[in-house]
Amino acid sequence: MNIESGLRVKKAGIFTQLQDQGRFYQAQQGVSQGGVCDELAGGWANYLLDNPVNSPLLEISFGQAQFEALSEVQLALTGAPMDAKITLLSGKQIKQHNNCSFILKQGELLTLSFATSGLRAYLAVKGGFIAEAVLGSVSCVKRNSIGGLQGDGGVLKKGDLLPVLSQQRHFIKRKMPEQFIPNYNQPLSLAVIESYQCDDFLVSQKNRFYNSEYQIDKHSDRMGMRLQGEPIIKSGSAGIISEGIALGSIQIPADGLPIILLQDRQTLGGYPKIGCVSRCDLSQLAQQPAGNKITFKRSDLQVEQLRYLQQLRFFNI
Amino acid sequence: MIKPVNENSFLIILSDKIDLSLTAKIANIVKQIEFKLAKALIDITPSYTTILVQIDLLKISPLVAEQLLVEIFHSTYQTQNISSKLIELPVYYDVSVGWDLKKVASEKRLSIDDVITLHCEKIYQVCAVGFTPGFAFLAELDDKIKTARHDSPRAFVPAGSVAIADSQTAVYPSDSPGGWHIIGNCPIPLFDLKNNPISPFKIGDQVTFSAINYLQFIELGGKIIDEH
Repeated sequence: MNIESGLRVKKAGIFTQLQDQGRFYQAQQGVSQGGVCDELAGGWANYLLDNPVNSPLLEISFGQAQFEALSEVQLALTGAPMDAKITLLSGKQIKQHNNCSFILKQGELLTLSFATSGLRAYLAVKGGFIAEAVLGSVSCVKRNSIGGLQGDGGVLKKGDLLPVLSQQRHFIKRKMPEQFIPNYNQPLSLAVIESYQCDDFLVSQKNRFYNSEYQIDKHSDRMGMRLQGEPIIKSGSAGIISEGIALGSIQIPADGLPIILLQDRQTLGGYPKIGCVSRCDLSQLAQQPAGNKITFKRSDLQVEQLRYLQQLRFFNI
Repeated sequence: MIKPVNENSFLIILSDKIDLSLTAKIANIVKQIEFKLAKALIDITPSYTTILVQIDLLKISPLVAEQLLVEIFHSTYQTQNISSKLIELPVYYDVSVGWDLKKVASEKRLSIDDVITLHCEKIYQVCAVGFTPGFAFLAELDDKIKTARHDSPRAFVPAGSVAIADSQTAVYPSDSPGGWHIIGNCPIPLFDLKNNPISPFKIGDQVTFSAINYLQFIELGGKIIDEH
């Protein structure tokens, strides 16, 4: 395996992490799964470079990052558009489109500013960035102090070096087909799979949940999306015996304001859940900045299973 | 009872009440699921009364998986195969490391020695692992030393702290915030990311504590960390 210098981090950005699909089979030890928040955008970034879906890539939240190529690299940029620009060796700046693969030559700079829509961009490199896996994954989970470039859960910082596999000479420019490029400004209605605890909520409370508009709270993070809006009251006691929490669970804590649990969620939790957000819709949710409004709609388990299976098949084969 | 949770997860529910006899059954079911689902299993999260099972839809159909889980649930429900291990942990019970030892003793109208004896006498069961990586919830404390959590948690609890809350006890595997009452410190490292598994605790395991003196504590690598 030949390793090249790859990229140097000139500006780390507000919150930039090394991610992959996540850390599995460690829940019995209390370790969170982690993994890319927007599986669709993350999947496409690797797909455009013909990488395996689990190849380590960067999740750039909010933006403001800059990278210098220390050797020629093949890159792909997806997710939230951040007005990407390449500074050529001549000093001239050119616009770099999202949702396609491209080459950054030695000495050139890739600069991202703030997200103009959405929240998280994904930057993949041919063959994946190289970092030592911790418990089978490089996924950076800050609250567990696990993963990332140094293995300690730290986010990217200025001066970090991101080594890459020796890049092939052969390069194919690939673009995401227009119809698959999401519009993050569209009103978002999340499909909900109602689960076993749904009956603990009165019909009137469920109606309120489906008929209300919720706003993404500013304290949301990779652990969970906190919502502001109509509180949902659970009949009976507010707590349950701590149990394993699935990705996308809509937890209703004592104050009644729903929290949608994401990749960095704790393994166990003791709040009742009204249901789970569909896996495919979580990608859109991951792109919603604080203040954006969302609604919920009932969906069907079998339909969501087929939707998810379709996504899995597309990226895994 | 087996209930779908989302596209690729099921929750196996054994009871709606905490019952220590369940942990052996849960450990047994976990083992069966790991064996039978093999590579189709993405993750498994046992807790006090439930097991969350996450499957790979590319490797198994959810209908087939559910059927398999139902079979395992019924075949192991009645059996009581205890295949757990006993973990013995040395603890230095002293006010220098047990920041709340004095408080617990006075609140419970016991001597410090009584608190230590009552904590050491019991064999505890691992009911769940979570909160932070390698944090094992152990039950069940002697009624005489059951203590509520601190009203506001400490921002810093040192690794190795042996603590109690409600009817449970635990060892903090790494430095972390925490709201439990600290009564001692276990000098043995219980958490190492380079090991897989990263900690010795698995649901259904049994744990006992034995009191050691200052010299033994230091010899085993223990450190006195002052509060603040």
